[in-house]
Amino acid sequence: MVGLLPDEFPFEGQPAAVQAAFLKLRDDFVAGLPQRWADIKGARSDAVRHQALHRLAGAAGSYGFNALGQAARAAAQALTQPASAENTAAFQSAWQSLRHLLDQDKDTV
Amino acid sequence: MSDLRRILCVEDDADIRMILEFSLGTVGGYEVCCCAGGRSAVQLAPDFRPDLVLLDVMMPDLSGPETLVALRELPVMQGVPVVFLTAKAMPDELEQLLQHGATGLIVKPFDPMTLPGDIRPYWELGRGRPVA
Repeated sequence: MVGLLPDEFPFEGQPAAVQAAFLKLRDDFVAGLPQRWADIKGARSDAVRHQALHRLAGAAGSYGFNALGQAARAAAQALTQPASAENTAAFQSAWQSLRHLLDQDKDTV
Repeated sequence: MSDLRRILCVEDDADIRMILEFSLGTVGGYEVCCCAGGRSAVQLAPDFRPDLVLLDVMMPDLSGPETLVALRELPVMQGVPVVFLTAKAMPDELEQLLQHGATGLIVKPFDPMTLPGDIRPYWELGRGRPVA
């Protein structure tokens, strides 16, 4: 996915087999991101969208994608705040970050 | 005196269950049982006999706090430390979670390489032992 790069992950002291196992898990997580993103974009309500963003926020960082997790968390938090120009801007900013990281087609609206 | 060996993980997100199993099992060497919801946890706990439970907060059907209440009714769960796993990060939200009676909480995302050690103080605390 263009724009999505993992952070460096500390493997100091871990056997090669452990590193390989983690990298396989990370590949599986990345393979599932298009569906997660589709679920977020296609959510039928803010409540459903919030739940999907919250789940992504909880998972992404553990796989080494801190920027993705932070953007998902920011978007999820903005959805729970009272409507205001500031919160709308915060959501839009987080949403743009998510698009940059997850959209495979940059022209996708 | 028993040691921390068996960990029951209750988490509805499949990717997080996978990384929990990797972290606690492959890295930490614990015996791990992961389930996707509170009702499964209540069914599995009597046979698995966990030494510690990691419990997601936001889950469909039974929430983390509701699951905690249900688990505490099981004789096998008396005295077993339960640690909430949560993506919430605001201090007041975290304080509210502890009011439900969990031994502690771990904020997601967690570091899968350090989680096996991070949970030990909660196990010591929950078992009534002084934390080093």
